[in-house]
Amino acid sequence: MTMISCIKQVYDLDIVLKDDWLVSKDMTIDIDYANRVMNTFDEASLELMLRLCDYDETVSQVVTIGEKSSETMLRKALALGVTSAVRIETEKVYDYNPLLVAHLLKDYISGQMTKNIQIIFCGQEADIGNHGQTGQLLAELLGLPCISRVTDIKRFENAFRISHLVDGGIEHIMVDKPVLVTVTQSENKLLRMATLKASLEAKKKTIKIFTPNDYKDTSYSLKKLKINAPKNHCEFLENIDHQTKVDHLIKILKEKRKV
Amino acid sequence: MRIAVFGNLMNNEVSDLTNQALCALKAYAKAVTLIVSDPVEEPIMLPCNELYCYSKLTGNDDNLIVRKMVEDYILMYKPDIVVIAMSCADQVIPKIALKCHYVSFLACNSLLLDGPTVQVAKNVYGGNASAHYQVESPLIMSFKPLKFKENFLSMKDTKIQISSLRGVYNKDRDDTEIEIINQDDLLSANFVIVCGMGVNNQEEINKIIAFSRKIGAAVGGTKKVIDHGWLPIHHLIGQTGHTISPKICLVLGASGATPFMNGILDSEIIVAINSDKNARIFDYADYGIVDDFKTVIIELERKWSGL
Amino acid sequence: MEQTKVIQRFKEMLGEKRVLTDTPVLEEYATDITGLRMVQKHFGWTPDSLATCVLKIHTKEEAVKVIKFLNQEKIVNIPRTGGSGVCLGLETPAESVVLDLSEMNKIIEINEENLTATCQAGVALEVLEETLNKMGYTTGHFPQSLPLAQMGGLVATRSIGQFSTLYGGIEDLLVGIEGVLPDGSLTSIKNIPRKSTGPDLRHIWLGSEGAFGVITEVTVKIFKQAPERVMQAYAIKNFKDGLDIIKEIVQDGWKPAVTRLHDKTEAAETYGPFVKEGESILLFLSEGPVGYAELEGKAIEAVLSKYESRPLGSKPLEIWLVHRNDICNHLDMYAKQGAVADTCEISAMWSDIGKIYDEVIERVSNEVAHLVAVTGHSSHSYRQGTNIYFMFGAMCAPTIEAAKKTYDQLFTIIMETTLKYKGSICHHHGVGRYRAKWMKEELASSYIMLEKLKSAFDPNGIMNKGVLLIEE
Repeated sequence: MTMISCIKQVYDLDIVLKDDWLVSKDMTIDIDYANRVMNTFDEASLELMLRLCDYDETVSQVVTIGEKSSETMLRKALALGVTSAVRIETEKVYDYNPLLVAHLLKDYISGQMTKNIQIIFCGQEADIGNHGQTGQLLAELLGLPCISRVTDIKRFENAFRISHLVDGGIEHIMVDKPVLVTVTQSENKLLRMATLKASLEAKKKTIKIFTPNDYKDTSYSLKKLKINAPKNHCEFLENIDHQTKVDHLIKILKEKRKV
Repeated sequence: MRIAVFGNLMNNEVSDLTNQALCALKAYAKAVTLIVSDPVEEPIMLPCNELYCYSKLTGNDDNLIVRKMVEDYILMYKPDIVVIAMSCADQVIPKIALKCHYVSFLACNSLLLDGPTVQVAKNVYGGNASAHYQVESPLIMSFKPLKFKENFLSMKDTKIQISSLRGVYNKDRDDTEIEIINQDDLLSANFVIVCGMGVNNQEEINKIIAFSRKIGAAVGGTKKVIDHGWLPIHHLIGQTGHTISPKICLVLGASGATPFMNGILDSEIIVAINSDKNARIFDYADYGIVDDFKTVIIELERKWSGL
Repeated sequence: MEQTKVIQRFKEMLGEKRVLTDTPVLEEYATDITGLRMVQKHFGWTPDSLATCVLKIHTKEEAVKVIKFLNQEKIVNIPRTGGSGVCLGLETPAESVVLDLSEMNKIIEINEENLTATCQAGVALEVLEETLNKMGYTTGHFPQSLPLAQMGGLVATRSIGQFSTLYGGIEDLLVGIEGVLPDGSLTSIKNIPRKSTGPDLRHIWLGSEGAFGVITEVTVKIFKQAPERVMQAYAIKNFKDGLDIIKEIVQDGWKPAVTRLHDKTEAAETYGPFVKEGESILLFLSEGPVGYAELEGKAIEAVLSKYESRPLGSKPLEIWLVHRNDICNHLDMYAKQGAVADTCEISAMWSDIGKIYDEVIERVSNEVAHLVAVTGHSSHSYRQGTNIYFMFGAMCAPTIEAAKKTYDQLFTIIMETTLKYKGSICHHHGVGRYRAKWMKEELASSYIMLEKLKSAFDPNGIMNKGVLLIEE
């Protein structure tokens, strides 16, 4: 049995300083100094996959699209116990087009379908585009059912019990055929940590490079990028002691509640 | 330009999501057709050109019903823009888009029509920026939960058409179970307390929950709080959780990361308590208290009876 | 005396409300934020013993009254303010009493002529700093515990701040101090810039960790906020070069307020896009009166030009300034994932510090099973030497015992190596209960002086029993 997790390396946007959110003339935002990290949804998704692979011989793969620098992230996945890692090499940047991203992933994954693929994992969404569509589009291209907003997967004999968020609750579905899941964040799904020894061993492993077809999409284009600036009008309650501060706060809350 | 909005009617009133979409499209009301799968009982006033009913579609797979309804409609009427204003939007849009060769966008901030040009705006860079895309193909989209909601009483009656389409759509599997989660009215509450990482542990969260019950507030948490398992996933506030718009949003110990802020920006007022005066949350808050949230809450709890 | 009677007496002295005996409160006061406890809590750790009660002290007169009684009844007590200790110094032995001074939080005087601030022990450093900032002054003291720490505790643990290379540690900032001795005497050391009247008695309080008495009031220096700042960062070939560069800069007489050297692992982790594989990173922030920062900045540049280095501009410093106190969250993340993680800071002379760094990194990497990472940085430098702040994390079986075993192994390697090269086992976190076991070796023939101080000041052994000295 094989499982594949699609992961993406993104900027750690938490690091970016307030004043650096500026759009340049070529419609980019220069945040190159921010660390590269694994997309947080992909971390949760990878952790789910690793948990399913912990107790048997399931072969696990990670695949990413990106330049050489994203191999750091792939090696981290290898250090965590993933069997093999693939980098889809492309010169173009596909930040704003989930359909093209899905096509590139499909090119690789469709070649793997003979390997008894059981579950394909995608994170629910990723920066920079935050489209939240890649997983579903990929499922459709591969002709697989897609379960989205997945929070947990448990193994049962020959099937999987997949839990996902639906309106007003969590739905649990028993699945025994190949499926693609898009994973959202949920409690206690922090990605495990690699030991130093495993990290060093992962450095020696080979990362497979895959060259996809060339795709183009002219159905839409980015016209403008605008910073969502904060309001910056906070009125601080700067009274000397807690009592007066809280009195002031209660006054505000009271007024607001009445309205 | 023809815009097809797929929504829900209940007791002859449109659902919140549908209401919000119609509001967002108000300027183009003449081009809008609202399509529902619910029975229309009496004349209704809405900001759209016509109302179209698919009331003969039934089944237990909501997503499939919606897909069938939308795909059939597209096939027959070829609208330029399709807006799905239902909670299943994010799950059906990409599939319909691929099948019908539409361009798809989820959780958009706005739709802008200027003659033949169509532009959609949506958040990018984790909500730190918004992108405006010019779309050259037929478009299918959803709006992110928006603040505005109106009653449309001043409008004229809307023309109603009934579809003759019939069909039953059931799930191809019956081995599912649904766990109903009580959301503590997080979405409808007037007063929400949101806990950030600074709240620091399960015990503190429990204290805040107890306090919130006392004062009739709902409790939500930031991503990190959910990650830690201090609150269940249904309490997640932010870009990937709930977007809330209460009258008062009291934020404790949250640094103010943008994806989180996007979930509370529509609150009428935001009050932030954080011990770090440089925390980003204060850039967004209406009122700020630089202090240990514990001391403030203890004091607030002591004095609350008077409210 | 029976515990219920003891509690009754305190209630008579302080009033019902200020004697806390609820179990959840006592549990909260049963430890500090030591990394070991943070991970153990995830594995179900609960305190071995709880205090009898927590006393909220509001005045020095109350402190005198309470301590006299405690001494008379020979009741062990734990003085406490912000509670941000990381060496188990605040753990509560059975039948002990916590003296919580955190509500003694009045800033008594800010003297703009003498540039001093006089505060009660429970004034939060952050509150003092903000108050001073509004008047154009600063404490110059920025420990990572800034959001939690309070003035009494900072003096009692010999705290240091991130701008120490210019402003010094708390021992350089303390002007005068008042405290209560175990026998109930209220003692005050007046504010004087310098004097020659026998041993400097303030040093009895500095680093006393509550073992000699309770600090009730302190006067610290304040500084005019620097009008100018120059920030620069450099990528350098390796850690050793970094140490040499800092040595040269400080020995030339410069005092860059922030002087930091992060090793290759930390550089990659925090400043990844700035450095190439294997490079370390140096951060300097200069500030002072008009003209000073620029001058010092140029001098630093000149020293760096002699080494293989790449200037990285000011951005790494800008990032550091905003994110410098995020570490607390990270430690908890580690704990959450079942990893033992903490920091451990030591110091040594220039001749030895590099050897300690190399040997600790090597030994920890080789000896600790399931190690996730071990890293180090130098962040407080002097003409004679510097500190190394080690950070470590290792996976362990999810039990309280396994966590302690791994934690002990990591700490022991750092302590042993430091002592081997005649360094000090503790640069600024204090000794607490955890590092006391290495104190005999640390102080060697001077250990007896500490014992004598303890028996002279606290013959009944009631003051924070278990810290500083080995329990005989």
